[in-house]
Amino acid sequence: MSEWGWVAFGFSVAYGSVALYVGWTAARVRRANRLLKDLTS
Amino acid sequence: MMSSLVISLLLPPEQIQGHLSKMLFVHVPSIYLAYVAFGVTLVGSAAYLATKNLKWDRLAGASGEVGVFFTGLAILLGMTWAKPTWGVWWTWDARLVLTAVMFFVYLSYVALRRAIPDRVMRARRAGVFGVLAIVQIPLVHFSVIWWRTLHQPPSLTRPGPIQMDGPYVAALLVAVMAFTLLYVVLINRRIELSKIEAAIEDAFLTTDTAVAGAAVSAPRFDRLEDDDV
Repeated sequence: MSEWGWVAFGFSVAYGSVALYVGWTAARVRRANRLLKDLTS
Repeated sequence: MMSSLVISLLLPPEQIQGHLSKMLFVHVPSIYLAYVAFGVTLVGSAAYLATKNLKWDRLAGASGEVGVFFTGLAILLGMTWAKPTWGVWWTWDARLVLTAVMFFVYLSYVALRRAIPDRVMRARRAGVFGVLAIVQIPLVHFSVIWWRTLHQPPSLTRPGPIQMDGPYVAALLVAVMAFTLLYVVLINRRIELSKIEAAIEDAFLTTDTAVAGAAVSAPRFDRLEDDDV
């Protein structure tokens, strides 16, 4: 793989992982909010 | 984050590593944020043990999880950088091994928090763990100075003049700032999640729910006596 190929792969891993973690955290907050609403309604 | 990405990619290639050196702008901020996150875990843990206020425990727990994510990311990015420069994905180098140990130690911290249902006991035990585990950070950081390693020594924090060109230093600082802002956003969301989880625990405790024994009826001895007769 060329130098640019490795750089593209590394940056994809970095930014992709960050996007996944941010999305997963937001999804957990939404799910917990829904559960709390069900329990208290 | 996008500014950091654009600045990093527009920089000219480095003399020895060429464009591969651009991995610096994601690898270094990741491990720096892991240090910051575990430092905040230490502060939160110590503050909880001193004050017994659960808000500090929530901060420590949230930061511990975010720190594990960034440590894992730093290891992955380091491996991606190592393959084209060293020729291997992994080697049993002191820096690499100690970073992996730090990852597993803090992963255990997260697991410990999930294993204890009682929030006060969880906060106390995780607090002690969070204080003791900080010893990992100087071990990881100074491993490249204390031992002969394949991993290069620190670029900015080593004694003496900085051996990096101005544009590279500026781009690295932009990347570090971008990742720090990301950490602030993540930690806020994670603390919000901890508060909701605490409210759910409270809601469960105050709701009447059937217990296992409720499904079992007591034996009717009077009927048994009638049948026997």
